[in-house]
Amino acid sequence: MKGVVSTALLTFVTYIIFTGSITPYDLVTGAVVAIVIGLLVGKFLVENDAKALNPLRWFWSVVYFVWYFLVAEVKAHLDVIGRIITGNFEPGIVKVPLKVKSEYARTLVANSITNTPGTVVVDVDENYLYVNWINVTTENPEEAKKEICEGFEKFAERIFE
Amino acid sequence: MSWASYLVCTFLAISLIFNTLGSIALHRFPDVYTRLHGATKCTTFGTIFAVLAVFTHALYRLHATGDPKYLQMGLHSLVALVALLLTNPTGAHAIAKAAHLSGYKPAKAVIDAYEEKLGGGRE
Repeated sequence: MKGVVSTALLTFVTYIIFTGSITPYDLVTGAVVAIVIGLLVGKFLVENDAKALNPLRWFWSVVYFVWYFLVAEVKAHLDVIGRIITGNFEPGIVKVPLKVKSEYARTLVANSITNTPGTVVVDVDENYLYVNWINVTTENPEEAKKEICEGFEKFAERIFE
Repeated sequence: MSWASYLVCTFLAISLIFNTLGSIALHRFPDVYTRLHGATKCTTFGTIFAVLAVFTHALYRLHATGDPKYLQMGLHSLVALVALLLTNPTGAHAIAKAAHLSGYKPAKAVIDAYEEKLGGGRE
């Protein structure tokens, strides 16, 4: 029965947002759909119910979302816009060591890096991310990590590990 | 015009600027990887501001008319934003990896750590 409750809750909330109404009919169909989906795929999506329903982790994910869009994205966008206009860049693929181990945390770090302008993840293996970086300032993996994904990994640890 | 329309127009203008820069990036950058930066990233911000414009408009109309269909419009655009934020980097990963594996090397690259790894694996 692991993962059923958290998956069903998320499905139910999404369903209600999509229908945009809270009539009894929609609540009942939403609950039925949510429970069926929870039973079908919950065990593949969630490894630990206590972790998935922990409000502190959800709180950190909201903090992360706001910080990411107001600080990380804006800074990187201004940088890349400058490079588009001046044509001043030195592309290359660097190795970035990755400390977090769980699948969700690694996905969050990789997606955050790719969504930030100026860096695209090309591949990932056990310990490293391979990142295409639009302006390589250092070829040292540790220093590259500091510039690319220090903040992302800290939050990924708090949210998923 | 009310203050809300000015706000909506501002958001739309910012969105247009980012999308324009994204298209310029496609022409200015030399290879598939750097073009991915321009094409997928500047349009992310462009889309975020377009969604913000829709959301502001919906909230304002909801406040003015009280018609729940505007609430639905705003929430739907937020769901579209979340879907975009999840699928955009996933697609970029797939394109970048496929390009590298099929032999497109980064142009003018100062370092290619991924090639070193692949080279080590082949021997």
